[in-house]
Amino acid sequence: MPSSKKKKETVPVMSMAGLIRYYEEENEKVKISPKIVIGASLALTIIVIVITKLF
Amino acid sequence: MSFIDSLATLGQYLPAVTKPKEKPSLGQKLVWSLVAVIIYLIMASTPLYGITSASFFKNLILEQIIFASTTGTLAQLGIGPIITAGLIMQILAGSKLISIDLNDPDDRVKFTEAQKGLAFIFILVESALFGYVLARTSTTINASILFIAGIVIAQLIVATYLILLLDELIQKGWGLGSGVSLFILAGVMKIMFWDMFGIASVSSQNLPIGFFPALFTALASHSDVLNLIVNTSTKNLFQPDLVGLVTTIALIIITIYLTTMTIEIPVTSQKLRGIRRTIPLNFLYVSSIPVIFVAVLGSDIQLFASLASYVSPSASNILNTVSGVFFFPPPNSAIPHSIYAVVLDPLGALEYAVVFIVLSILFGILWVDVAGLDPATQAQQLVEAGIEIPGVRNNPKIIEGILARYIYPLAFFSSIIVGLIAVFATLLGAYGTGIGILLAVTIAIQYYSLLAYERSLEMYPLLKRLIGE
Repeated sequence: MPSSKKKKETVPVMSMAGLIRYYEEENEKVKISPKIVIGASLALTIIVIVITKLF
Repeated sequence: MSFIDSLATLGQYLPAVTKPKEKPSLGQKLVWSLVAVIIYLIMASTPLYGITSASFFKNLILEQIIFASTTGTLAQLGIGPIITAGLIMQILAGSKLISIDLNDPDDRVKFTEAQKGLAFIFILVESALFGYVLARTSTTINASILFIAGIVIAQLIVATYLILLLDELIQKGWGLGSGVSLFILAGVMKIMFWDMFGIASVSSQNLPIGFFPALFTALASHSDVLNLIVNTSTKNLFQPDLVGLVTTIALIIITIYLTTMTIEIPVTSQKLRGIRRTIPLNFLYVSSIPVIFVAVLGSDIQLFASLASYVSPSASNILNTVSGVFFFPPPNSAIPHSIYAVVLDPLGALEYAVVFIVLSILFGILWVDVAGLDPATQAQQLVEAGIEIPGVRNNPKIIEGILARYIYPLAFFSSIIVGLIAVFATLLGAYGTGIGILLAVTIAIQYYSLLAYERSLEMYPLLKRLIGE
Protein backbone atom coordinates (compact mmCIF):
# COMPACT_ATOMS: atom_id res chain seq x y z
CA MET A 1 0.00 0.00 0.00
CA PRO A 2 1.53 3.36 -0.96
CA SER A 3 2.48 5.61 1.89
CA SER A 4 0.28 8.47 0.70
CA LYS A 5 -2.80 6.32 1.22
CA LYS A 6 -1.81 5.30 4.71
CA LYS A 7 -4.15 6.57 7.35
CA LYS A 8 -2.77 9.38 9.46
CA GLU A 9 -3.30 8.76 13.12
CA THR A 10 -1.99 9.82 16.45
CA VAL A 11 -0.55 6.86 18.30
CA PRO A 12 0.13 7.05 22.03
CA VAL A 13 3.87 7.10 22.49
CA MET A 14 6.16 5.78 25.17
CA SER A 15 7.90 8.78 26.64
CA MET A 16 9.43 7.32 29.78
CA ALA A 17 12.68 9.12 30.59
CA GLY A 18 11.84 11.61 27.86
CA LEU A 19 12.35 9.40 24.83
CA ILE A 20 9.71 9.07 22.16
CA ARG A 21 9.86 5.93 20.06
CA TYR A 22 7.35 4.18 17.84
CA TYR A 23 7.48 0.42 17.47
CA GLU A 24 4.03 -0.30 16.03
CA GLU A 25 5.53 -1.05 12.61
CA GLU A 26 8.79 -2.83 11.85
CA ASN A 27 11.14 -2.26 8.95
CA GLU A 28 14.41 -3.75 10.20
CA LYS A 29 16.47 -6.00 7.95
CA VAL A 30 18.37 -7.99 10.62
CA LYS A 31 16.21 -9.45 13.38
CA ILE A 32 17.39 -11.39 16.41
CA SER A 33 15.51 -13.07 19.22
CA PRO A 34 15.64 -11.66 22.77
CA LYS A 35 17.29 -14.88 23.97
CA ILE A 36 20.27 -14.15 21.71
CA VAL A 37 20.57 -10.63 23.19
CA ILE A 38 20.56 -12.05 26.74
CA GLY A 39 23.01 -14.80 25.74
CA ALA A 40 25.37 -12.40 23.97
CA SER A 41 25.37 -10.02 26.95
CA LEU A 42 26.22 -12.83 29.36
CA ALA A 43 28.83 -14.23 26.95
CA LEU A 44 30.56 -10.84 26.64
CA THR A 45 30.64 -10.42 30.42
CA ILE A 46 32.04 -13.93 30.97
CA ILE A 47 34.67 -13.51 28.22
CA VAL A 48 35.87 -10.18 29.66
CA ILE A 49 36.05 -11.61 33.21
CA VAL A 50 37.92 -14.75 32.03
CA ILE A 51 40.43 -12.76 29.92
CA THR A 52 41.04 -10.37 32.83
CA LYS A 53 41.74 -13.32 35.15
CA LEU A 54 43.98 -15.14 32.64
CA PHE A 55 46.06 -12.22 31.37
CA MET B 1 19.14 11.43 0.23
CA SER B 2 18.53 13.62 3.28
CA PHE B 3 20.32 13.45 6.64
CA ILE B 4 17.35 11.72 8.26
CA ASP B 5 17.03 9.19 5.41
CA SER B 6 20.72 8.27 5.72
CA LEU B 7 20.35 7.72 9.47
CA ALA B 8 17.14 5.71 8.94
CA THR B 9 18.89 3.48 6.37
CA LEU B 10 21.71 2.85 8.84
CA GLY B 11 19.14 2.08 11.56
CA GLN B 12 17.38 -0.40 9.27
CA TYR B 13 20.51 -2.49 8.74
CA LEU B 14 21.49 -2.64 12.41
CA PRO B 15 20.51 -5.84 14.26
CA ALA B 16 17.17 -5.42 16.02
CA VAL B 17 15.12 -7.45 18.48
CA THR B 18 12.02 -9.12 17.03
CA LYS B 19 8.60 -8.14 18.35
CA PRO B 20 6.73 -10.89 20.23
CA LYS B 21 4.28 -12.74 17.96
CA GLU B 22 1.68 -12.73 20.70
CA LYS B 23 1.55 -10.42 23.69
CA PRO B 24 3.45 -11.93 26.66
CA SER B 25 1.65 -12.23 30.00
CA LEU B 26 2.40 -9.77 32.80
CA GLY B 27 4.47 -12.44 34.56
CA GLN B 28 6.58 -13.04 31.45
CA LYS B 29 7.07 -9.29 30.96
CA LEU B 30 8.26 -8.93 34.54
CA VAL B 31 10.70 -11.83 34.10
CA TRP B 32 12.17 -10.37 30.87
CA SER B 33 12.47 -6.92 32.52
CA LEU B 34 14.13 -8.37 35.61
CA VAL B 35 16.59 -10.43 33.54
CA ALA B 36 17.49 -7.35 31.45
CA VAL B 37 18.11 -5.24 34.59
CA ILE B 38 20.19 -7.98 36.25
CA ILE B 39 22.33 -8.34 33.11
CA TYR B 40 22.72 -4.56 32.96
CA LEU B 41 23.87 -4.49 36.60
CA ILE B 42 26.31 -7.36 35.95
CA MET B 43 27.75 -5.43 32.99
CA ALA B 44 27.98 -2.35 35.21
CA SER B 45 30.07 -4.40 37.66
CA THR B 46 32.41 -5.97 35.09
CA PRO B 47 35.65 -3.97 34.72
CA LEU B 48 36.90 -3.32 31.19
CA TYR B 49 39.83 -5.54 30.23
CA GLY B 50 43.11 -3.65 29.96
CA ILE B 51 42.21 -0.85 32.37
CA THR B 52 43.57 -0.54 35.91
CA SER B 53 41.42 2.37 37.06
CA ALA B 54 39.16 4.89 35.43
CA SER B 55 39.73 7.59 38.02
CA PHE B 56 40.07 10.07 35.14
CA PHE B 57 36.27 9.92 34.76
CA LYS B 58 35.27 9.48 38.39
CA ASN B 59 34.03 13.08 38.69
CA LEU B 60 31.31 12.51 36.10
CA ILE B 61 28.73 11.99 38.88
CA LEU B 62 25.74 13.41 37.03
CA GLU B 63 26.74 11.42 33.96
CA GLN B 64 26.60 8.23 36.05
CA ILE B 65 23.04 8.99 37.14
CA ILE B 66 21.48 10.39 33.99
CA PHE B 67 23.17 7.87 31.67
CA ALA B 68 23.08 4.98 34.19
CA SER B 69 26.78 4.48 33.52
CA THR B 70 29.49 3.04 35.75
CA THR B 71 33.06 4.26 35.39
CA GLY B 72 35.64 1.72 34.19
CA THR B 73 33.11 -1.04 33.44
CA LEU B 74 31.36 -2.45 30.37
CA ALA B 75 28.60 0.07 31.15
CA GLN B 76 31.07 2.99 30.87
CA LEU B 77 28.81 4.69 28.30
CA GLY B 78 25.58 3.32 29.78
CA ILE B 79 22.50 4.57 27.96
CA GLY B 80 24.24 7.86 27.11
CA PRO B 81 24.27 7.38 23.33
CA ILE B 82 20.60 6.29 23.32
CA ILE B 83 19.40 9.28 25.37
CA THR B 84 21.60 11.84 23.58
CA ALA B 85 20.52 10.61 20.13
CA GLY B 86 16.88 10.49 21.20
CA LEU B 87 16.83 14.02 22.56
CA ILE B 88 18.67 15.44 19.52
CA MET B 89 16.16 13.77 17.17
CA GLN B 90 13.21 15.06 19.19
CA ILE B 91 14.53 18.63 19.23
CA LEU B 92 15.18 18.46 15.46
CA ALA B 93 11.66 17.12 14.83
CA GLY B 94 9.96 19.49 17.28
CA SER B 95 11.71 22.59 15.97
CA LYS B 96 10.89 21.49 12.37
CA LEU B 97 14.59 21.45 11.42
CA ILE B 98 13.87 18.08 9.83
CA SER B 99 10.67 17.58 7.87
CA ILE B 100 8.94 14.69 9.58
CA ASP B 101 5.26 14.18 10.38
CA LEU B 102 4.91 11.99 13.46
CA ASN B 103 1.23 11.35 12.65
CA ASP B 104 2.27 9.54 9.47
CA PRO B 105 3.10 5.83 10.07
CA ASP B 106 5.93 5.88 7.48
CA ASP B 107 7.55 8.91 9.07
CA ARG B 108 7.19 7.39 12.54
CA VAL B 109 9.11 4.30 11.42
CA LYS B 110 11.75 6.51 9.77
CA PHE B 111 12.04 8.61 12.95
CA THR B 112 12.64 5.56 15.18
CA GLU B 113 15.15 4.05 12.75
CA ALA B 114 17.00 7.36 12.39
CA GLN B 115 17.14 7.63 16.18
CA LYS B 116 18.72 4.18 16.35
CA GLY B 117 21.17 5.05 13.56
CA LEU B 118 22.23 8.23 15.37
CA ALA B 119 22.58 6.31 18.65
CA PHE B 120 24.92 3.87 16.88
CA ILE B 121 27.05 6.76 15.56
CA PHE B 122 27.26 8.12 19.11
CA ILE B 123 28.29 4.65 20.34
CA LEU B 124 31.15 4.56 17.81
CA VAL B 125 32.33 8.12 18.51
CA GLU B 126 32.10 7.92 22.31
CA SER B 127 33.69 4.45 22.40
CA ALA B 128 36.62 5.70 20.31
CA LEU B 129 37.14 8.75 22.53
CA PHE B 130 36.74 6.85 25.80
CA GLY B 131 38.88 3.94 24.60
CA TYR B 132 41.72 6.24 23.59
CA VAL B 133 41.62 8.30 26.81
CA LEU B 134 41.33 5.22 29.05
CA ALA B 135 44.24 3.54 27.24
CA ARG B 136 46.36 6.67 27.70
CA THR B 137 45.55 7.18 31.38
CA SER B 138 45.41 3.72 32.94
CA THR B 139 46.46 0.37 31.59
CA THR B 140 47.94 -2.90 32.82
CA ILE B 141 49.10 -4.32 29.50
CA ASN B 142 52.63 -3.84 28.27
CA ALA B 143 51.70 -3.00 24.68
CA SER B 144 51.20 -0.01 22.40
CA ILE B 145 48.53 2.52 23.38
CA LEU B 146 46.71 2.02 20.06
CA PHE B 147 46.50 -1.75 20.61
CA ILE B 148 45.06 -1.30 24.13
CA ALA B 149 42.74 1.44 22.88
CA GLY B 150 41.51 -0.95 20.17
CA ILE B 151 40.69 -3.64 22.74
CA VAL B 152 38.87 -1.16 25.01
CA ILE B 153 36.98 0.41 22.07
CA ALA B 154 35.83 -3.05 20.87
CA GLN B 155 34.53 -3.89 24.37
CA LEU B 156 32.70 -0.56 24.65
CA ILE B 157 31.08 -0.79 21.20
CA VAL B 158 29.80 -4.34 21.73
CA ALA B 159 28.67 -3.74 25.34
CA THR B 160 26.89 -0.45 24.59
CA TYR B 161 25.16 -1.88 21.53
CA LEU B 162 23.98 -4.82 23.65
CA ILE B 163 22.61 -2.29 26.18
CA LEU B 164 20.74 -0.63 23.29
CA LEU B 165 19.30 -4.05 22.36
CA LEU B 166 18.33 -4.76 26.00
CA ASP B 167 16.41 -1.47 25.99
CA GLU B 168 14.79 -2.38 22.66
CA LEU B 169 13.88 -5.83 24.00
CA ILE B 170 11.91 -4.29 26.88
CA GLN B 171 10.39 -1.51 24.79
CA LYS B 172 9.19 -3.75 21.95
CA GLY B 173 6.82 -5.58 24.27
CA TRP B 174 8.90 -8.39 25.77
CA GLY B 175 9.30 -6.41 28.96
CA LEU B 176 7.45 -3.66 30.79
CA GLY B 177 7.95 0.03 30.00
CA SER B 178 11.37 0.97 28.68
CA GLY B 179 14.88 -0.27 29.39
CA VAL B 180 16.22 3.28 29.61
CA SER B 181 13.87 4.01 32.53
CA LEU B 182 14.62 0.74 34.29
CA PHE B 183 18.38 1.22 34.00
CA ILE B 184 18.19 4.79 35.35
CA LEU B 185 15.97 3.60 38.21
CA ALA B 186 18.33 0.71 39.02
CA GLY B 187 21.36 3.04 38.93
CA VAL B 188 19.80 5.63 41.25
CA MET B 189 18.56 2.95 43.66
CA LYS B 190 22.07 1.44 43.75
CA ILE B 191 23.61 4.83 44.68
CA MET B 192 20.89 5.59 47.28
CA PHE B 193 21.22 2.14 48.83
CA TRP B 194 25.00 2.52 49.00
CA ASP B 195 24.72 6.00 50.55
CA MET B 196 22.57 4.50 53.30
CA PHE B 197 23.98 1.02 53.86
CA GLY B 198 27.32 0.73 51.99
CA ILE B 199 29.83 -1.09 54.19
CA ALA B 200 32.91 -0.11 52.17
CA SER B 201 33.94 2.84 50.03
CA VAL B 202 34.49 2.50 46.28
CA SER B 203 36.61 5.54 45.44
CA SER B 204 36.56 4.96 41.66
CA GLN B 205 32.78 5.47 41.69
CA ASN B 206 32.64 8.06 44.50
CA LEU B 207 30.69 5.59 46.64
CA PRO B 208 31.42 6.28 50.33
CA ILE B 209 30.73 4.21 53.44
CA GLY B 210 26.97 4.45 54.01
CA PHE B 211 25.36 6.72 56.59
CA PHE B 212 24.13 3.94 58.91
CA PRO B 213 27.38 1.89 59.02
CA ALA B 214 29.32 5.15 59.57
CA LEU B 215 26.90 6.16 62.35
CA PHE B 216 27.18 2.77 64.11
CA THR B 217 30.98 2.88 63.83
CA ALA B 218 31.09 6.42 65.26
CA LEU B 219 28.75 5.51 68.15
CA ALA B 220 30.62 2.29 68.93
CA SER B 221 34.00 4.04 68.99
CA HIS B 222 32.63 7.11 70.85
CA SER B 223 33.98 9.38 68.12
CA ASP B 224 32.56 12.68 66.86
CA VAL B 225 29.15 12.32 65.18
CA LEU B 226 28.83 16.00 64.20
CA ASN B 227 30.30 15.20 60.78
CA LEU B 228 27.46 12.74 60.27
CA ILE B 229 24.85 15.42 60.96
CA VAL B 230 26.40 17.83 58.43
CA ASN B 231 29.43 16.70 56.46
CA THR B 232 32.11 19.39 56.82
CA SER B 233 35.04 17.11 55.99
CA THR B 234 37.37 18.06 53.14
CA LYS B 235 38.70 14.47 53.02
CA ASN B 236 35.45 12.47 52.71
CA LEU B 237 33.67 14.76 50.26
CA PHE B 238 30.89 12.29 49.54
CA GLN B 239 30.21 11.13 53.12
CA PRO B 240 26.38 11.00 53.47
CA ASP B 241 24.97 12.96 56.41
CA LEU B 242 21.71 13.23 58.39
CA VAL B 243 20.61 16.42 56.59
CA GLY B 244 20.97 14.55 53.29
CA LEU B 245 18.94 11.59 54.60
CA VAL B 246 16.09 13.83 55.83
CA THR B 247 16.18 15.75 52.52
CA THR B 248 15.99 12.49 50.56
CA ILE B 249 12.93 11.25 52.47
CA ALA B 250 11.20 14.67 52.29
CA LEU B 251 11.96 14.98 48.58
CA ILE B 252 10.51 11.55 47.78
CA ILE B 253 7.28 12.43 49.64
CA ILE B 254 7.01 15.89 47.99
CA THR B 255 7.67 14.47 44.51
CA ILE B 256 5.05 11.73 44.93
CA TYR B 257 2.51 14.31 46.14
CA LEU B 258 3.20 16.73 43.27
CA THR B 259 3.20 13.96 40.66
CA THR B 260 -0.27 12.80 41.69
CA MET B 261 -1.73 16.35 41.71
CA THR B 262 -3.95 17.25 38.74
CA ILE B 263 -5.74 20.30 37.33
CA GLU B 264 -9.25 19.38 36.16
CA ILE B 265 -10.83 20.85 33.01
CA PRO B 266 -14.63 20.26 32.77
CA VAL B 267 -15.72 18.63 29.46
CA THR B 268 -18.68 16.87 27.87
CA SER B 269 -18.82 14.20 25.18
CA GLN B 270 -20.81 14.34 21.92
CA LYS B 271 -21.57 10.63 22.28
CA LEU B 272 -22.65 10.78 25.92
CA ARG B 273 -24.76 13.94 26.05
CA GLY B 274 -25.53 15.28 29.51
CA ILE B 275 -22.72 13.38 31.20
CA ARG B 276 -20.12 15.81 32.45
CA ARG B 277 -16.60 14.75 33.27
CA THR B 278 -13.18 16.30 33.58
CA ILE B 279 -9.87 15.99 31.80
CA PRO B 280 -7.04 15.87 34.32
CA LEU B 281 -3.87 17.75 33.40
CA ASN B 282 -0.89 16.72 35.51
CA PHE B 283 0.27 19.52 37.80
CA LEU B 284 3.84 18.52 36.88
CA TYR B 285 2.81 18.87 33.23
CA VAL B 286 6.31 18.33 31.86
CA SER B 287 7.20 15.64 34.43
CA SER B 288 10.97 15.48 35.05
CA ILE B 289 11.80 16.20 31.39
CA PRO B 290 13.35 19.71 31.90
CA VAL B 291 15.69 18.29 34.53
CA ILE B 292 16.68 15.42 32.20
CA PHE B 293 17.46 17.90 29.41
CA VAL B 294 19.58 20.14 31.67
CA ALA B 295 21.40 17.13 33.12
CA VAL B 296 22.06 15.60 29.68
CA LEU B 297 23.37 18.93 28.38
CA GLY B 298 25.63 19.38 31.42
CA SER B 299 26.80 15.76 31.34
CA ASP B 300 27.62 15.85 27.64
CA ILE B 301 29.56 19.11 27.93
CA GLN B 302 31.50 17.76 30.93
CA LEU B 303 32.11 14.44 29.19
CA PHE B 304 33.48 16.06 26.03
CA ALA B 305 35.54 18.48 28.15
CA SER B 306 37.20 15.49 29.82
CA LEU B 307 37.79 13.76 26.50
CA ALA B 308 38.98 16.95 24.77
CA SER B 309 41.80 17.42 27.29
CA TYR B 310 43.76 14.79 25.32
CA VAL B 311 42.91 16.23 21.92
CA SER B 312 42.73 20.01 22.36
CA PRO B 313 43.55 21.46 25.82
CA SER B 314 42.24 24.92 24.86
CA ALA B 315 38.86 23.49 23.78
CA SER B 316 38.84 21.46 27.00
CA ASN B 317 39.35 24.60 29.10
CA ILE B 318 36.44 26.36 27.40
CA LEU B 319 34.16 23.33 27.80
CA ASN B 320 35.21 22.92 31.45
CA THR B 321 34.34 26.55 32.17
CA VAL B 322 30.92 26.12 30.54
CA SER B 323 30.23 22.78 32.25
CA GLY B 324 31.22 24.25 35.62
CA VAL B 325 27.88 26.08 35.96
CA PHE B 326 25.94 22.79 35.69
CA PHE B 327 27.53 21.29 38.80
CA PHE B 328 27.66 22.13 42.47
CA PRO B 329 30.03 21.70 44.23
CA PRO B 330 32.45 22.06 41.28
CA PRO B 331 33.86 18.64 40.22
CA ASN B 332 37.51 19.01 41.25
CA SER B 333 37.06 21.18 44.35
CA ALA B 334 37.71 20.18 47.96
CA ILE B 335 34.15 21.10 48.93
CA PRO B 336 31.98 18.43 50.60
CA HIS B 337 28.73 17.39 48.92
CA SER B 338 26.51 18.67 51.73
CA ILE B 339 24.71 21.84 52.83
CA TYR B 340 28.10 23.02 54.13
CA ALA B 341 29.09 23.61 50.49
CA VAL B 342 26.60 26.52 50.36
CA VAL B 343 28.40 28.12 53.32
CA LEU B 344 31.80 27.66 51.64
CA ASP B 345 30.73 28.83 48.17
CA PRO B 346 27.45 30.81 48.27
CA LEU B 347 28.05 32.51 44.90
CA GLY B 348 28.72 29.17 43.20
CA ALA B 349 25.50 27.80 44.69
CA LEU B 350 23.52 30.82 43.45
CA GLU B 351 25.04 30.61 39.96
CA TYR B 352 24.22 26.88 39.79
CA ALA B 353 20.63 27.46 40.97
CA VAL B 354 19.94 30.30 38.51
CA VAL B 355 21.43 28.50 35.49
CA PHE B 356 19.65 25.26 36.34
CA ILE B 357 16.21 26.83 36.87
CA VAL B 358 16.40 29.12 33.81
CA LEU B 359 17.41 26.19 31.58
CA SER B 360 14.67 24.04 33.15
CA ILE B 361 12.06 26.63 32.13
CA LEU B 362 13.44 26.89 28.58
CA PHE B 363 13.57 23.12 28.11
CA GLY B 364 10.14 22.65 29.71
CA ILE B 365 8.46 25.04 27.29
CA LEU B 366 10.43 23.56 24.37
CA TRP B 367 9.28 20.06 25.39
CA VAL B 368 5.61 21.10 25.36
CA ASP B 369 5.96 21.94 21.65
CA VAL B 370 8.25 19.02 20.79
CA ALA B 371 6.16 16.28 22.41
CA GLY B 372 2.77 17.41 21.13
CA LEU B 373 1.66 18.65 24.55
CA ASP B 374 0.95 22.13 23.15
CA PRO B 375 -2.60 23.58 23.20
CA ALA B 376 -3.06 23.28 19.39
CA THR B 377 -2.30 19.53 19.32
CA GLN B 378 -4.32 18.85 22.47
CA ALA B 379 -7.32 20.84 21.13
CA GLN B 380 -7.20 18.91 17.85
CA GLN B 381 -7.16 15.61 19.75
CA LEU B 382 -10.16 16.67 21.87
CA VAL B 383 -12.17 17.64 18.76
CA GLU B 384 -11.26 14.36 17.02
CA ALA B 385 -12.33 12.42 20.14
CA GLY B 386 -15.69 14.24 20.13
CA ILE B 387 -15.03 15.98 23.45
CA GLU B 388 -16.35 19.50 24.03
CA ILE B 389 -15.81 22.16 26.68
CA PRO B 390 -19.25 23.25 28.00
CA GLY B 391 -20.40 26.64 26.72
CA VAL B 392 -17.72 26.76 24.02
CA ARG B 393 -18.14 26.29 20.25
CA ASN B 394 -16.54 23.05 19.04
CA ASN B 395 -13.82 24.87 17.12
CA PRO B 396 -10.17 23.77 17.58
CA LYS B 397 -8.96 27.40 17.61
CA ILE B 398 -11.33 28.41 20.44
CA ILE B 399 -10.56 25.26 22.47
CA GLU B 400 -6.85 25.90 21.86
CA GLY B 401 -7.22 29.37 23.38
CA ILE B 402 -8.87 27.94 26.50
CA LEU B 403 -6.29 25.15 26.86
CA ALA B 404 -3.44 27.66 26.40
CA ARG B 405 -4.62 29.39 29.59
CA TYR B 406 -3.90 26.16 31.47
CA ILE B 407 -1.07 24.51 29.55
CA TYR B 408 1.59 27.23 29.27
CA PRO B 409 1.34 28.38 32.92
CA LEU B 410 1.42 24.71 33.98
CA ALA B 411 4.48 24.06 31.81
CA PHE B 412 6.19 27.18 33.17
CA PHE B 413 5.49 26.53 36.85
CA SER B 414 6.08 22.78 36.70
CA SER B 415 9.47 23.44 35.07
CA ILE B 416 10.34 25.87 37.88
CA ILE B 417 9.16 23.38 40.52
CA VAL B 418 11.15 20.40 39.19
CA GLY B 419 14.16 22.69 38.75
CA LEU B 420 13.84 23.94 42.34
CA ILE B 421 13.44 20.41 43.70
CA ALA B 422 16.57 19.25 41.87
CA VAL B 423 18.58 22.31 42.96
CA PHE B 424 17.56 22.24 46.64
CA ALA B 425 18.14 18.49 46.88
CA THR B 426 21.64 18.88 45.45
CA LEU B 427 22.45 21.84 47.73
CA LEU B 428 21.22 19.90 50.78
CA GLY B 429 23.24 16.81 49.85
CA ALA B 430 20.36 14.41 49.08
CA TYR B 431 21.37 10.80 48.45
CA GLY B 432 21.53 10.01 44.74
CA THR B 433 21.39 13.77 43.92
CA GLY B 434 18.21 15.77 43.32
CA ILE B 435 18.06 14.84 39.65
CA GLY B 436 18.49 11.16 40.48
CA ILE B 437 15.67 11.17 43.04
CA LEU B 438 13.33 13.11 40.75
CA LEU B 439 13.96 10.64 37.95
CA ALA B 440 13.66 7.59 40.20
CA VAL B 441 10.37 8.75 41.77
CA THR B 442 8.72 9.79 38.48
CA ILE B 443 9.84 6.55 36.79
CA ALA B 444 8.63 4.46 39.77
CA ILE B 445 5.22 6.17 39.63
CA GLN B 446 4.99 5.57 35.87
CA TYR B 447 5.78 1.91 36.49
CA TYR B 448 3.16 1.71 39.23
CA SER B 449 0.53 3.02 36.77
CA LEU B 450 1.79 0.68 34.05
CA LEU B 451 1.61 -2.34 36.36
CA ALA B 452 -1.92 -1.41 37.45
CA TYR B 453 -2.95 -1.04 33.78
CA GLU B 454 -1.41 -4.39 32.76
CA ARG B 455 -2.95 -6.17 35.75
CA SER B 456 -6.42 -4.82 35.02
CA LEU B 457 -6.10 -6.03 31.39
CA GLU B 458 -5.16 -9.51 32.62
CA MET B 459 -7.96 -9.63 35.19
CA TYR B 460 -10.65 -8.30 32.84
CA PRO B 461 -9.99 -9.60 29.30
CA LEU B 462 -13.06 -7.69 28.04
CA LEU B 463 -11.13 -4.46 28.60
CA LYS B 464 -8.65 -5.51 25.89
CA ARG B 465 -11.44 -5.49 23.32
CA LEU B 466 -12.81 -2.19 24.59
CA ILE B 467 -9.47 -0.40 24.20
CA GLY B 468 -8.63 -2.26 21.00
CA GLU B 469 -5.61 -4.28 22.16
